[in-house]
Amino acid sequence: MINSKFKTSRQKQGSLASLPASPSLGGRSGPPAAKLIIFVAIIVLALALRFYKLDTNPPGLNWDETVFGYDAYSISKTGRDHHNRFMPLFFESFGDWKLPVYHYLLVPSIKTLGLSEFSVRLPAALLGSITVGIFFFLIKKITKNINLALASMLFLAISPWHIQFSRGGFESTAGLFFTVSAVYLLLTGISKKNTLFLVLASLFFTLSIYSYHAYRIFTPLFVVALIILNTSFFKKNLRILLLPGLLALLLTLPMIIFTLSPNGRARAISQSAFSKGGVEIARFDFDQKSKKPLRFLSKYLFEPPVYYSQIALKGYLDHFRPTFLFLQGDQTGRHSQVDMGQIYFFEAVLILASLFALKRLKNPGHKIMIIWLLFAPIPATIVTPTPHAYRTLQMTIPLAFFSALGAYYIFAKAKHYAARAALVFVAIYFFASFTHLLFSHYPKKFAADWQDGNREMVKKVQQYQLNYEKVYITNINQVPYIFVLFYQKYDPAKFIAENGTKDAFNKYVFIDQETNIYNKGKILYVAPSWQKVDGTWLAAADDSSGRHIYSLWEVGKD
Amino acid sequence: MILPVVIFILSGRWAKIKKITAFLLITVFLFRLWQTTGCQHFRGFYFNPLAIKINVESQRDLDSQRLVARIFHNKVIVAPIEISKSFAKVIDPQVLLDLLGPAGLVFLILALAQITKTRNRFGFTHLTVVLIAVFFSLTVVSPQTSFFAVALSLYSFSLWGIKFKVSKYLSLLLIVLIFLNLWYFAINWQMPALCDEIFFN
Repeated sequence: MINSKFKTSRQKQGSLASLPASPSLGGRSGPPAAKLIIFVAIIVLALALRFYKLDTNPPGLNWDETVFGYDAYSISKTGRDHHNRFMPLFFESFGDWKLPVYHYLLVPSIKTLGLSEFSVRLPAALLGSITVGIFFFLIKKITKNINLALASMLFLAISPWHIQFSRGGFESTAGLFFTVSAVYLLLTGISKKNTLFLVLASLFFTLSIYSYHAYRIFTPLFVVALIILNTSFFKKNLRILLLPGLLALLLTLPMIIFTLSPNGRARAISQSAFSKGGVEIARFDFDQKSKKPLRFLSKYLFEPPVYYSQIALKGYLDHFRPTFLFLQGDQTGRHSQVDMGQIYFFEAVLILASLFALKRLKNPGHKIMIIWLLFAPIPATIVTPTPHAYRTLQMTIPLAFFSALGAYYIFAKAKHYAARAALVFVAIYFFASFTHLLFSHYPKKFAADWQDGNREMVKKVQQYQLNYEKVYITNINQVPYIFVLFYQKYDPAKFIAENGTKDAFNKYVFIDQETNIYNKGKILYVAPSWQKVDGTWLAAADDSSGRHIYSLWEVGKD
Repeated sequence: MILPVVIFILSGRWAKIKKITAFLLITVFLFRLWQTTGCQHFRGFYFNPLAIKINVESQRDLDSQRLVARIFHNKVIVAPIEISKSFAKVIDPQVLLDLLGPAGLVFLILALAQITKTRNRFGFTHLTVVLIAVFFSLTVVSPQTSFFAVALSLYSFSLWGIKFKVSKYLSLLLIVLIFLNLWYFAINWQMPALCDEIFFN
């Protein structure tokens, strides 16, 4: 069955026939078995890059991953999240109201493997790897070129951007999987005129919206664009759109209601790049410092819609900055290697070359990729900060395609094997350099970004806590309660029954720096490493790179 | 540099609308240059070669194996990357937007499309001059000099975009965009990507 999908045909290549079917194979298509082997090899490579040392790299679970894991654990045990909501559609989490898909994907993982770093990251790693495979079928569908599909698949498999977010408990990776699958299903439904595929596409698009907030903006816009691109089909087959359309509307209704609710609006406002205060400051600055003859313009120039559009434009263009894409990446340690771009340095040349390849192609598939690339940064334009690699993860798909297209074009045009060999050598070197940064440097350099050290802290607390009635833990690293719950595998039913909160549950109390710990009797106090405490020092909790994060103290007397 | 290019463009057989476009674009660019008179300290694009050494040494410290460190963290590889970072800062979309405005950016893209489409030798020569000006700005310590080198070369090059064949309606739209450019320059008077501190007495 799989073999048949790898059978090539010069006729199927359509308008790409002006370029050799397989430049690396001297213009011949190549046997299907060879292509199957390459396909499998790329999938294995994708799995290896995403699963190798998944539990220890990134080092430590960050607070979002921890709350995902614990809420999934709580659902599996009690059917409720740790805020005592039964099978919630929106998870309160830390007041930021996370979306449900990744939580529920975690339930089978947690149930079978228990609470651990690996089980929390497993769905993202698995879905990220599967996305690579589905991407092959998508590109093959839209370009009818197996070699280009294999190349695109390879670039996604080794994409530093995609790998980064496949190696953590990130919702956006799941959202991207559903989006890529949905686009493939939609195009298949259109080509086969099959309602089932369109219904599945509708379902997968909806799942992407419920995976991560960015897709709430990206997916509807992209779907409208896809419908416009296929207007002629939908005009003739309007009835075929009825069921999937109704299904999508019905399933997204709760999302629409949530977005308009006070909690949904509060979340939007907290992330928004637009603030009235910002407009007033800008107007004041203009009045004070600009040229006197122009100052009267401030009341016209700084109208909020006018001013906000400037901010949105800046936010949008930030995602096309060469420094962000090829050189330095997102400066947040969780989102990139920081020492390199979101994608490889040499891909700048490939993407430039793809512009020339696009000129030759009449395949409408490239329009889908261009629209995908142009729409992908939109969700991040209305929030801060920018550029934001997590909120624009959907850019990895068109970038992988254009890199592959550029490589394909160079291979087709390069007359000497030396040029092709040079390209391959450069690609292998930069890939090796990335894997060196990822597996050697990253766990040491970015342990703090992943809030590493909490596991060790909880282990030490478990060691000493029996001697104390109360354990006070600093909240300097924010929401320590969730790490205590997670690493102790605390019974969720008990946490709910005793009305546990982020401030206290059982014998644990979570405090800020101002709290007086000296009038509490004899307590175990977990302090930040730098804090001077008047007590008996018991133990240190270090992160995986050996940095001292917490100190355990005995404070007070009976 | 600007004057010969302007004369060349305006001397061709052109519809009036293109001449109006050219006039408006030049006016808007001159307005932007006038705005920079309030800049007390330009950002500049100077490339400091020490960045190469710092990059290599900070990365090597994290590797226990010397051979591995030398393969992946050496000046031969790091130097082009560090130079590219400085080069990328010059062609950063935010810098281009602050310098040219949205309309100028559109005309810059049209200019590139125009000279590649028509394979105009003079256009390619002009593009080469722009690239030389950009690299020159990386070597010059004075931020003001590097700013004007980049600004004048990009302003003159973007005028090629006026020659790009578009429909009459699109031409009118581009003129509207130039007026919006004026608004953009007014609202973005602090040009944060180009100037650290700007005020007028």
